[in-house]
Amino acid sequence: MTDVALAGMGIAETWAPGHRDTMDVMADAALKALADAGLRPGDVDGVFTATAQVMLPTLALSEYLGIQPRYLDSTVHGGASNLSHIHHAIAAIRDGKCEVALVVYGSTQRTALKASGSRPAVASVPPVESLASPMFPISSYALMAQRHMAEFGTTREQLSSVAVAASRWGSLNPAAQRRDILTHEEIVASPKLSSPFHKLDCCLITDGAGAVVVTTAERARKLNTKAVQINASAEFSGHEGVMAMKDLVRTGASVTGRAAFEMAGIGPGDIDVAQVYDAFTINTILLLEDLGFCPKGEGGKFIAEGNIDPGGSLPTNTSGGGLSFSHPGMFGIYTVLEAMAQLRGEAGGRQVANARRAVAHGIGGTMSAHCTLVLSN
Amino acid sequence: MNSNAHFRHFAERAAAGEPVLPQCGSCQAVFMPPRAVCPECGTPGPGWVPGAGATGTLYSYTVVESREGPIIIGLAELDMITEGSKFYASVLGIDAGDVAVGQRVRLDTAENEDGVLVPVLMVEGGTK
Ligand SMILES: [Zn+2]
Repeated sequence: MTDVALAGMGIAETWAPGHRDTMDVMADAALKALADAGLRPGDVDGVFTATAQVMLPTLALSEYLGIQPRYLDSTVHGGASNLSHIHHAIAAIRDGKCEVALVVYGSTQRTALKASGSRPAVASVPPVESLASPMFPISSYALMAQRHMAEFGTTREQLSSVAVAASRWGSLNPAAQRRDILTHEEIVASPKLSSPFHKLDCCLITDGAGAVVVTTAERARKLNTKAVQINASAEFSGHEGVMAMKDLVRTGASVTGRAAFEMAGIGPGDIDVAQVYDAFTINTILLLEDLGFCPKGEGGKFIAEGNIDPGGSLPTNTSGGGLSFSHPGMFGIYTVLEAMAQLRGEAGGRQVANARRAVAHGIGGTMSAHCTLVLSN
Repeated sequence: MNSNAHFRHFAERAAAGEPVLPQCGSCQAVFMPPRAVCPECGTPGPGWVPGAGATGTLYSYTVVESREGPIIIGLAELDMITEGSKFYASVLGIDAGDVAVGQRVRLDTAENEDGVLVPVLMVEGGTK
């Protein structure tokens, strides 16, 4: 089977609220990723995009960049989308349907929020839930958190430890939008939204765009000495809304994690750095448990003990994550970009020493879509 | 919102004060949310069973800080619903500070802010 790799990465410069259009942040990230891979737009034959703000985004971006792709994919299932694009690109490349795949996400949701008072929706409230007027999607994740507390004794302070850890990493990242280190006291003093969540349990709302180039490992090695190998990928969905989620404290990450580790021939203990989509504090707890990094129910304790902090046993969300780095909607692409930065040894003051193997995990909807990638340098 | 015919019927019957739950005509499973195909056996076109007074246990909850004050939203495991499917609704009959996982609840209807009857979960022997 053809080995596939990540040959380039790009992150758009975005300081919202600005006056850049979504197409321009996407193009910026895409051109940076291509330049990083030593490629030009004309070399791309597969285009994969996700965004909530551009109509027919794969067509629009392809034309904007002068690409005439022979493989097109506009899969959108929230924050797992770009990881799924990579998962799909691997299959397309192995099948000879394309050779150079460009995967792009972009959003100017903070600019839109400032301009119109509302954020472009990535997902809509499920119909039955709408009858109860929840704070969507915050309340769905809040229900998972409350259940985790009831079932396993997870504490309010342990939830805070997730945001505190993210802020410690963010303080080391000059590109992070939150640079201050949070405390439990500050988190529970922030406005209550949907219990047990306060405002600081929830991700930032920012603009942003990111892109990666996927190609054969053989070509990637020739193009870029810093290419990152994709050892395994897996995706899964078991529900859309929380009513159809069979168990609110056991997620599809257990399915994709098991499949990806089996394919990679390694286990959670072999991973040096983890990047999991932290839209809310409970996410990091649930995803680390379900990916097998700690026993079920003990995620809160694992994190509160400092394991995911700088210097911890499992450095996690080392950019600062959606809680402290940036969160332009579908955060998935950033889990991949930060895993790449760590594996390439380019993470500056937050670099994890000897990071050789990484996991990136994206979720979409309300813990609905899952995609896990196992990467190595 | 991704509305659909099964949801519309569910909401209409609740608005008439007669809440119903989807039931599979083949395996008899009662499930939520309403949908085109039974999640247990895959049979399309489920029917309906009266749901008023159905009792169950609060599986999880969240207190939402709304403009009108705190409102409770709950997910309940109703006794007549097949394991795994949960009922999502506003929780009434108890103060936000007293709600807890495991409390017994009963399916009822109550008026929302627009005066429309919607399904709610009433806490049995609650504090209000
Ligand atoms: Zn059935």
